[in-house]
Parts: sequence; structure tokens; C-alpha cells
Amino acid sequence: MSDRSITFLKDRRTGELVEAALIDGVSRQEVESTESAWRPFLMNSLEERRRAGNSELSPPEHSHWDWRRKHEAVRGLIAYRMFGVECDGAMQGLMLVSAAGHPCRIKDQKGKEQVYVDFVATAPWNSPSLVEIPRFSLVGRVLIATAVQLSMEEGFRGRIGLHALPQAETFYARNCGMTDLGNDKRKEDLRYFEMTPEQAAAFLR
Amino acid sequence: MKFSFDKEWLGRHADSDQNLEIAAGSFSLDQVPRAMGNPAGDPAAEPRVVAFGRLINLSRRKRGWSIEDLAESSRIDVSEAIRIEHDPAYIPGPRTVYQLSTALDLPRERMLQLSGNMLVRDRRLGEQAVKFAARSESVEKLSRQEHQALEEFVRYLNESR
Amino acid sequence: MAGDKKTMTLNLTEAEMAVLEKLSLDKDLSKTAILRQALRLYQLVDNRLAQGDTLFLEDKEKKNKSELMVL
Repeated sequence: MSDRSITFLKDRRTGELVEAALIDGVSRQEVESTESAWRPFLMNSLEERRRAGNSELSPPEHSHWDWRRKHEAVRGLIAYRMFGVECDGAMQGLMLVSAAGHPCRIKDQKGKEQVYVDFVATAPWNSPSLVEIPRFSLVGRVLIATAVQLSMEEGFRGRIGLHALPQAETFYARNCGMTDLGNDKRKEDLRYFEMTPEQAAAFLR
Repeated sequence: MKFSFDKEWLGRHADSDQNLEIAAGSFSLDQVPRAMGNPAGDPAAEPRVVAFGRLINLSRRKRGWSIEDLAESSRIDVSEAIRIEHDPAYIPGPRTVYQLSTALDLPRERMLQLSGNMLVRDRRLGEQAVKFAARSESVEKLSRQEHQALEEFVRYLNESR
Repeated sequence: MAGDKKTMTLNLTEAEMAVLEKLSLDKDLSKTAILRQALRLYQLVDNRLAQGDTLFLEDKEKKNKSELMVL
């Protein structure tokens, strides 16, 4: 029951934009093959870094995420949607969103509905903190643009919200132009960001 | 539902997006709920949390940083930085620990365990933390003894498990 | 996914309609969208209750947690 739309990613090897597929409704099979591709790459990268004497031995903060478990947990629940970006025969990014249960917090839109990004991540080979030269960029932008479009389709006018992992704060504050509502004590102290309809329009321009 | 993406728009933003992390969601680590992580309720945790504050203090001073410098580099409040170094019962949140680890170049997962945010998997960590806490005193300049204690403890933290 | 839509006729009391209209105004959403949100939330709550969880509400000052009266 999934839909595909055409999108583009930047191939860092060639510097060119290449065609990719935005998948609306990632299947269990797709999630399984994603995990089997992402996990070994992640583990190998960490092992290499350790051998090279890199003192930073901690895995990236989301490396324990198990997308299969997430997929299973939201199966059949209509509030959730899982999206993926596929390119060059592999999944380059995944995102799970809720379209209910997360009302807005910014004063001017308090209580209004929004699309909340429960989880979003790019493939480990695209992660700048894990590899010297990431393979593809624009994964984050494509997925956030997807969340914004979904929000508009739902009648939420492009409002979205999310809790950024520390390294991603700059992307959401500066590149997406979202409002920073500060560290959320109820969510592991992560920084909560929210987008207004005006910011959504500016983002897509 | 069909989604549309303007190729030109994507191309325009590719440069400013690259080299930025984008992950959002939650820390995935097994976390001890804050209430349960309180050292007052768990006597075994106390030396670890003391060691954490001491480690931050010595690592900062080794770099010649003031508390303000540390707070700025880690993007945390000065008041919180002070609490971390001086209040043995204070457990900072995971984001703060993450930021401090990055600023001071210390292994994140071990720091989360040390600070009381994460279940400790390694019994040795407790022992090493006690040893370190006992050997380090707070004086202005890093004494040779403190230096040595710090080096050894950091070396241990960086060891593979 | 969002593709095929089915149509349904709803019979609501005046009081229910008034609630639907007020919510629609407050949330700046169509009445259909409000009902869609309601359905999503209801399924989420129901799903958790079916697993044996309890629904609690916590007051702003974090002083009191009270169990939501669920039918």
C-alpha cells in the first residue's frame, strides 16, 4: 500500500543531482533490508575508527534505533506514517511521523494540530560525523519537505514539530528556519523545534 | 499521496545542507529514568557522579578554560556548569552530557554512564571512578598528581570494552 | 494510502454538532479533519489500553496525576 514520488538527492561523488524515490508507506520488507544494510556499515565504520585510534568511541546517538521495531510498533495505527528515500538501490533515509497527538506549543498556534516527526535519520554512509565524505546529501531536506507537504494536505497549514538530536540543531534552526523552543525536560532534554505556516512557506520557497 | 520536489530548489540548498546532521527523535540509549538515577537513592552511584564532576573540572582546567569558556564551548548555561562541578548530587540531562563530551573530547557513552544517565554495564567503571575521585583534589593549578590521575582515568575510559 | 476515500453520513445530536463546530473553529480545521483526528487519537488510546496501560493526566504543576475516566 505504498506510493512513490520522484525526488532528487545530491550525489557527492559527482556533485550532480540524481533521481530518487520518496516512498510513502515503507513496507516491512523495505525496513528489514534497510536495517541489514545500515547496521553492518555502521558497525564497520565504528570498528575502523577505533582501530585508527579515534578517541570518540561512542556510536552516533541514534545508532541503536531499530526501525523494524518502530515499524512493528505503529503497524495498523492510522495516526502514523513512515516515509523513506530510495536511491541507487538502497534506502538513504527514513522518517516516522504522527499526524495526531502532538498539538503545537508556539504561543500563536498553541493547541493547533501539526505533523510531528517522531524519528528521522539518514543512512550511516550519508552521515558527516561518521564518514569523511558522505555519499548523498539533501536527504534531510527531502524528508522535512515531505512532512511539511503532508501537514498542508492534512489542513495543518505546514505546521510540523520535532525534537532534534544535538548535532542536528543547526540544520533545524538555520536551514529549516524553525522556531527553537528550547530544551524539553520531558524529552531527554532534547531541543524542541516547531514550524509555523509562515516558516513552512518560506522553507519551500 | 503524491509529493512534489522542485529540483532547482533542492539544488539551491544542497551546499548549505551538506555536512550537517539531521537526525531527530530521541536518544536511543537504555536510560535510567531520572528518578531512579538519583544517587540519593542509590549509594553505589554517588562516587561515579562525583567522578563525573571532577572529570569535567580537571579536563576543563587542563585546557586552561574557565567555567564560562566551558559553558560557551558546550552551549550550556554557566549555572549548570557550576552545578556539575560542585554539586555531587546533581545529575545533568543527557543533552548536556553529550555537549560536554563533545567539547572535552571524551567518550559519550561512558560519560552518560558516569553521569548517572545510563545503566552502567561495566563494573570496573565504578572502581575506576572511585579511584579517580579519591586521587583528584580541587586546587587551582592542576598538580602533577591530578594530571596523572586524569590521564589514567581518560585512558581507561577510551579503552574498548 | 490516502487514495480511495469512502463516504459516510453522520447523525449527530445538537450538542455533539456544537462540540464539533467549536473544535473546528478552535483548531482551524474542517469538521471532517476534526473527526479524522478524533479517530486517530481514539485508536492510539484504545491501542494502549488494550495492552494494559492506563491513561493518566498530569496537572501543569506536576503535583497530581489523576486517572482519566475511561468508559
